[in-house]
Order: sequence, then structure tokens, then C-alpha cells
Amino acid sequence: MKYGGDIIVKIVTPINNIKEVHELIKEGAGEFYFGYLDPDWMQYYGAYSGNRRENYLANFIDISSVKEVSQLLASQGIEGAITFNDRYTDSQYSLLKEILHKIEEAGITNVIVADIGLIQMIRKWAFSFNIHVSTGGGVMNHSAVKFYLDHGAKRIIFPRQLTIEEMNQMTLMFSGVEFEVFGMYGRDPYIDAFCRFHHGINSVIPGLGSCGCIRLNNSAIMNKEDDAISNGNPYRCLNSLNVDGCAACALYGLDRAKINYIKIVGRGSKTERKVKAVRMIKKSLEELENFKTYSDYEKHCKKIFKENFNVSCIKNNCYFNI
Amino acid sequence: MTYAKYINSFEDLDKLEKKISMVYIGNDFCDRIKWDFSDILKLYHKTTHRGLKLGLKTPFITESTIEYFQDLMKNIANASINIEVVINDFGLLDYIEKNGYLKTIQITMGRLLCRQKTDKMTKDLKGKVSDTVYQHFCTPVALANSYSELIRKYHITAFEFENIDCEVYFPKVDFEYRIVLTYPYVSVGSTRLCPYIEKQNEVLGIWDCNYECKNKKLYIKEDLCGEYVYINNTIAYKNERLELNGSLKEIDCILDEIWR
Repeated sequence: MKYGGDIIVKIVTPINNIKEVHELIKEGAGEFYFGYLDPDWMQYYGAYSGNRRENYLANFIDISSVKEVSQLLASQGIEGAITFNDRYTDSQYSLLKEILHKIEEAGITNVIVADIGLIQMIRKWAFSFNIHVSTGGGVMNHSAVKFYLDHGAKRIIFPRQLTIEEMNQMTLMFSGVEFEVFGMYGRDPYIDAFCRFHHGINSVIPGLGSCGCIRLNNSAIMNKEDDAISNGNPYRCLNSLNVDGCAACALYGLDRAKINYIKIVGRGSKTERKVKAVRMIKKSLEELENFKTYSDYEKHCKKIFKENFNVSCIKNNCYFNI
Repeated sequence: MTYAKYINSFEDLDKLEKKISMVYIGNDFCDRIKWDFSDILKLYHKTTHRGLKLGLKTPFITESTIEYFQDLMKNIANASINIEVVINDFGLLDYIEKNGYLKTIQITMGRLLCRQKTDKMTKDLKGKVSDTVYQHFCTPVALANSYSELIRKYHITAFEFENIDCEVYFPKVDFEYRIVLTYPYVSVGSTRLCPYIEKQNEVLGIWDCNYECKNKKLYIKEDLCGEYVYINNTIAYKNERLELNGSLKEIDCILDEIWR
């Protein structure tokens, strides 16, 4: 989709069922990503999905539905990617290889990978997947971009905690590389690549409570000197936001000629929530070229935000500070 | 077994216990905290004079500071000094390799790239998930044959593990390695939305700092897991029990950290 001039920006949208695809395309989704939980994987690993999202709610669970969605996307000329964004140990690799074969046969051409070990093995096994380096790959500088390109990456998904300036600087140094940035939902105080909490398993095991990072966000930060609460709790706000992360107005500062994939978070979310996110980003992009100042564009985005989510935008929603 | 100590300053050198034969400086988590090359060189001469080895921790590195760390590696390599560099960023590792500095720089893969699941609740998963899943969570990801090519290409000779509060599984791999165990702090998450910096206009973001973390110690008491501390921009818990599934024999070096 062209948003002003000749710049093409695609909204990369999560799905967990085929029914929502048409509606999301209609709203402006330009690419899709999703998880696949293979029955053989579940036999060994049960509740642990291996892609950082809880089992049935966030994943496709049979290969025929993966094939069906792959065919549907191909008929629309739209790309789809499957997430393999966890870290894997040796005992899992034979099963991973079988699953990769299955999804390749189902027509999937793109995979989102966080673990350099799996990237190496995908190349060694001679799969022809396009590799999108997940935010879990932790690509925070141009040398890290080179590192992953040398290992066969086609796309880099930037970590959430880079500044607009840093991302623009990095992309300037490369041509022919796809760059993706977070656009909506899922803002987290901890950097994904270095997070060592359990994700995608706690909530399905009684007694474990929510993920560690969410529990920490809700706890007050204290000063050791006097045991007084220090600096409020900077992260608690993230848990209480209806829209936990939005980069709509930050699109103004982004070099869209280089960073032209905008990601929506939430594989397990309801369709309605995904639709609102796609609509928000699409509407923001459509008008962008008409604004001469960031301040005017910010006001415009705030208006769309209010119309779309029925709440006012607050600064702690912001993925990126301008 | 080598006993190593993390130090913050030259003065700390005079406080070392006799068993310490190596010191580490630098920072694994925050790329704003830097040592000048001239100070590293001075410290290198002091440690060498005292018969101590020197290790330099480097953090995950953003585009804003990559040039500084690249220059630092260039200076270290050109000075031909025998320093172990702990790498926590694939970009810096790649830069070292591409510039031929692996001939002089000895590489340890840092705790952030080794990617142990350090979640304090890992031990609580035992019996609640299958043995296969539990063993997976207790296995350091970098100890895998899928990493062989990487380990060889970048001449990685050691891995930095953390003193996690559960068992550790050491799978058989087709490469040689040493283990440096950081003790007693175990990191679980890092952020650039630094908790030490006052929010600007109440907004959570990546703001400039005045190294507030040097003068203030922050901690969290959490209902399920007890106390966590902030080490600069990183949240960690303290585990003073050296257990590691009775596998202390696997450890080549214990690195005693301070709450810095």
C-alpha cells in the first residue's frame, strides 16, 4: 500500500485463525504472521509452545489450516511468516526440522527466528525460507545487522528499545534489506532479546502466576538507603494501559523509505483488537504526507486514537519518544 | 579453579583476597558506562605486575555507542595486551572477527548471549511440566551443536553462566569450552527505560542520564519470588547457594560480583 509519494509501507499483522484474514486485509493489513503448534511438538512439550505464546489461543494447531491460510494469502499476493522466536536446545532440533519441512510443504516461505543457532541450522538443512530476525535477535547496531545478513537474514525486526534516530542511522547504511519496527501494542520495559523470564507457559500452569516481568512491573521500586519508594513505579503504567504501546505519531520521524514494515503485536488477541490497531496505523499513515510539522501530525494521531480506541492517548502509550 | 573478582576502580585492587587471580571490569548491561582505553591500559599494567589476569565485560550495544566500543577493541588489539573480552553483542563480535582482532583478543560469550533461562521460577516448574520440558529450561542455549560453527568461527573459548537457582544441564557438544560462573547475582531482564532516571514530564522513555545508578541502590520485593535488585539497568536476584546440580566440577572460574 502506498502512503504518500512512492513509499510502500506494509502493516504486519498477527493472526490466529483464517476467519479474520479477510477483515484484516480490508482494514489495511499488508502482511501476516502467526504461530504454528504441531501435534508432534505438543506430544513432547505439552503446554510449552516454543514460540513464546500460550498454546491454543495464539497458534494454528494443524498443518491443514496452515496450508489453507498460506493458499489464501498467496491468492491475495500477500506474504505470511511463521514464528520460531524462542531459544532452542539440541534435543529439540530433530523435531524442529520435521516441522519446518511440514510448513514448507504447506507453502510458507518466511520464518521469524530469534535464535542464531536455529538460523544456522535452517541454512545447514538447506531450507529456502526467508529469514526475518525477530526482535529477540537483539539487533541494536549496524554491525549486528551485518552479522545477521552474513548468516542469511532477509529482514531485521528492530528491538522495541531503539530510538527513531538510531533506527534511521542504521538503515541508511544498507540497501536491499527489509527493516521492520513495532507499531502497536506489547510495549515492555525489558528488552526482548535479553529477557530470561518464562513466556508462553506460566499462565497454563496452576500456581505459577503471571509472567515474571508482569509481576515485577506491578511491584514498587524501593531505595535501599531508606526503604522508601523510589521514583514511583516507572513500569506499572504499562500494565494498566488499554493500548499498551503505540508508534502512530512516531511514524513522522521514521525513514519510511527504509523502514517499511510496521508490526502489530498480539497473536492471541481478539480480531476486534487487531482491527483497531491496523485501522489506527493505516489512518495515521494515510494523512502523514499532508502534515508539515510533527506537532500537527501528533494532534491528528491523537484524534484518530480517541476515535478508534475510545480513550485519550497518553504519552506513556508511546513506543518511541520524539 | 580460578577465583575472579569484579572491580569498579583502581582502589579495589588493594582490597582483593589472596585467592583472587583475575579481575574483571566493564559492564555487561549498559552501554553508557564506559572505561577509557588509557585507564584499561594502566590497569592492565598494574594487574600484570601483581600477577593478575584482566577481563573486560562489554554490554549489548546500541547504534549510539557502537563506534566507541569498536574503537576500544581496535585499541586493545593494536596494543597486543592479553585481555579476555566478554562479549554480549553479536555486532561487536562480528566487528572483532572481520578486522582480524581475534588473533589478539580472547573471547568469552557473555551471559546475555548464552541465554540461560534464569527465571527464578524455573525450579517451580519441576514436576509440573514433563522432564523433557524441564531439562530444556535448565539447559544453557549456547551449549548446543547448532552453535558449533559460530563458536569456531569467532574463536569463542569460554561461556559466562549465571548462578541460577535451579539445576543446570550440560549437554554433550562437539566443541571445547570453559565456564565462567558469575556469582551471586543472576540477571533476568535489562531495559533502556532506566528505573534510576526521573521520568521526563512523567513519560517513560530513553532519556539522558547522569549515572544516577552509581549513587543509588534500587530493589523490588515481589510477592512470589522475594527480592530483586537493579544492577544499573538490569534486574537481578541474588543466589548465594552454589549448587548447579552438583556440577561445580564443570566450572573453571567463579566471578564474584558486587552490587554495582
